[in-house]
Amino acid sequence: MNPTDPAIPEAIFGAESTPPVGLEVQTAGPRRGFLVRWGLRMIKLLGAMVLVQSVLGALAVLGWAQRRARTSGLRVWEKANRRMGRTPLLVQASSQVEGPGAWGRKFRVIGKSVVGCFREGFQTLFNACVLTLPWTVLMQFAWYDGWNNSFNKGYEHAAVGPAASWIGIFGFIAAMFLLPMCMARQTMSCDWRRFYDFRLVWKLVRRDWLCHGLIAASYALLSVPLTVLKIIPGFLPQINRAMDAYTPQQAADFLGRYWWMAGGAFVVVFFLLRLASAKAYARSLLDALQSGAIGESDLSEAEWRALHRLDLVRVVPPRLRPPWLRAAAWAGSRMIRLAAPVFVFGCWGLFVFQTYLSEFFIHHPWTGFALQPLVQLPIFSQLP
Amino acid sequence: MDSERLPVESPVTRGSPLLIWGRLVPVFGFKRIGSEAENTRERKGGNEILRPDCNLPAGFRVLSLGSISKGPGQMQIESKLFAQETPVQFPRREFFRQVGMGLGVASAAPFSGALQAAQDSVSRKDYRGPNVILVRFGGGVRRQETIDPRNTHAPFFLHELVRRGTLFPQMSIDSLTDIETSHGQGTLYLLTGRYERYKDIGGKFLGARFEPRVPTLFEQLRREFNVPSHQAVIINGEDRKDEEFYNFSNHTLYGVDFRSVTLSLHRFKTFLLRRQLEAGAIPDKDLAKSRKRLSEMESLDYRTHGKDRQDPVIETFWENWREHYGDSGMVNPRGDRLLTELALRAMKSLRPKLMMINYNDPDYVHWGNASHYTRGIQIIDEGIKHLVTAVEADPAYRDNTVFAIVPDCGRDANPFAPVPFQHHFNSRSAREIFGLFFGPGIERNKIVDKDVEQIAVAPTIGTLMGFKTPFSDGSVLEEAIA
Repeated sequence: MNPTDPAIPEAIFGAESTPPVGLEVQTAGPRRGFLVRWGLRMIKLLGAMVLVQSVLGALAVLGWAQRRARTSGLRVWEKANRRMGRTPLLVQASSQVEGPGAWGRKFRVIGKSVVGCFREGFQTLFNACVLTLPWTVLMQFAWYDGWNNSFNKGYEHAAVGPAASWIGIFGFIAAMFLLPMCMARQTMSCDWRRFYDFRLVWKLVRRDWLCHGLIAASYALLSVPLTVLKIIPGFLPQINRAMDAYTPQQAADFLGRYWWMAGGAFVVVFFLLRLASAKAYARSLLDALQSGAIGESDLSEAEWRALHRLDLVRVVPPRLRPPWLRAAAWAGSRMIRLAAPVFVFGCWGLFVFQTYLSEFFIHHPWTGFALQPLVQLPIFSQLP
Repeated sequence: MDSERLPVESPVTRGSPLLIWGRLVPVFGFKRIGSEAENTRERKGGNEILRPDCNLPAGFRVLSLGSISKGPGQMQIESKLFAQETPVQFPRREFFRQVGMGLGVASAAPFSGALQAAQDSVSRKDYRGPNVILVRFGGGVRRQETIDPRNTHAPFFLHELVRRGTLFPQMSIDSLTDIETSHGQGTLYLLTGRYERYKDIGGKFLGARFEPRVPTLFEQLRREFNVPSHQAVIINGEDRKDEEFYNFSNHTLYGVDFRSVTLSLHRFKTFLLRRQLEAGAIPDKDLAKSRKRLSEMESLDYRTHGKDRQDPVIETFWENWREHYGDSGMVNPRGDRLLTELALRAMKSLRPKLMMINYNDPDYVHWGNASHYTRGIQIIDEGIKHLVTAVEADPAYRDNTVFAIVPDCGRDANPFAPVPFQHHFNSRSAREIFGLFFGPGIERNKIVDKDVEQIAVAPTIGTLMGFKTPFSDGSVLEEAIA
């Protein structure tokens, strides 16, 4: 292991590890006051609301969310460490860089952070698209072909549109069984190639259906208000009759403001889901590791370092429980294994259904199906 | 209120099994489905007219619309709407009817639709007015892609036909909030000359079924003149079964006996399956399924009792169609080109006096591709061109045919939507349509730049053809008539 590996983030180095050159380990500073914390959050939210209006900004937000998700995952492990009565060893490291003067250093830190966000954003987008874009594009094509076929009365090919649509839907749902965990795996590993450890991810998902069911349910439910926000522009002239007579410029101005404000809800939902996925992954991975279901070799370099630092890389023998409790747990887990996949499938089905519903009310050619803001690129602006 | 309107809903004695429609109907089958509060009272010249404001539920037909009696010093109104569940067809009914007619029940039933139709057919005069072709520029089109010269996709219509007739570019659909702007409603506004708040009586998703309560143009024409049903024709879209019910109303004095004939691919498929079953062309294993399917197809409109499939002229029409295009349904033209083809064949073999063509292709844009909308308009434009050419080439129609071209509704121009082509939300653009009349008796090269209503089309056609339209709320477009 090379501690100077730039792919390994600073945050996972504990106080006793050898820090990479140029990094100075420090303990976390004093906790900021309530108002300061919330003030900073609001500023960040406003910034993100602006960023999700454009492709480049969305790329940065995606990377930002991944980095923030990594911190969340690490905190799960940190808490596990605390529960074991140990002093937390995982501390935030500063990202100090050498440079002339305080301002110069600050700019360099910011610049490095922005570049990191873009890099991680691009990597995550690429991976998410590899897994989901074929299916979403298929759905987009199916919608196009369905209308095309209806218009041309191509009865001979009537099955093409619906069949392509169903294939796209099932493929997308199958991909979504893995995607949130794969993205969490990528960010916790600090290595975009680790996204493709499908075997390990699937093992984690199967071991903790309940947790992943909750993630899927969160996606399905939290996307409801976003679906409503997507649909509303189609009904604006009905909501306010005066808008029926808006010129294209007036409409564009209004929509600019509308999507900026709607972006607030989107950013909150987007970050919540990414953070929750990372936490779920961290929890599942730790559980699998400590139960012996996976070995140390299954961990990525960065994960191993962090867990090792926290002294969590060890098998914890199962607690001895009365036979009836063990029997009940065994039966319960079997039932969950049977029912949970159906539940998760239903949740992702509901997620897809919302896409169809919103496109039914207000169709967005080219991107309506192909680009899923919560899944691929977090761009939340639908200007006509 | 139109002073020409007649009080058609007459007091009907209820409770007697013999005096209702001249048919033997069991009194216990009555169901009261309306009340005074639900009906509309209109006063005109000392007469009170009661109109039921509720659509009949599926499987019911009107028996009595109301009764009015004048008490001392005040008008006492007993407004009730009775309906009877449509009985299952069985020979006994027909037997009773025959017996009843034979026994002279007819003399005690002056309001019997069926009997009156039979009686009137002797006394009605032959129709000698112009033929009318009512083109529904349908599927909902906006003015900007049709009559706007900068952006039109209907060049023949705009550059050629407008010069031949009178254009009403400011025609619109009433902006009342409960007046819907859609195809079924728009078609019925055109056919009845009256805005109504239609309720779907079928409950089928994306297949709303509306039944007019006041007579259509076809019924009024056929009641006034001796015009056989096959000369009053509606041509419908191939995949719109919900449009199969516009050929007659539920009005007591009109209805199925004055219906128009519907030509559509659905009707052809029904005819074909019936013939295939008769010929034993269906394999045994599919026989039960095919019979069931035929039964479903034939009973699509429960109100007709099979009357709409007995016309030998129409049977011959479909025979010829089958001979030409075969059985597959994959050879004939599709979409709105099919409607044009049906119209051209109908003109040759049925010689319709009044024909409505319900074009619909521009509607395949709701959530799809904008190019379908403009292409649909072009297809209709081409279809109209074929129709006009056919009329000019046919001595029976040349100089004796009036065209009325009107959309069923407009479409939205929602600046907030990437595909702004809905029409269900009563938007201004969805209410903005246009109307063009041309032919003999119509002013040429005239543009009437004033606000007119879509419901004016029906009384205008009635005036051109020489029959009154007392149920229409619209005014005749006098500016168009030379």
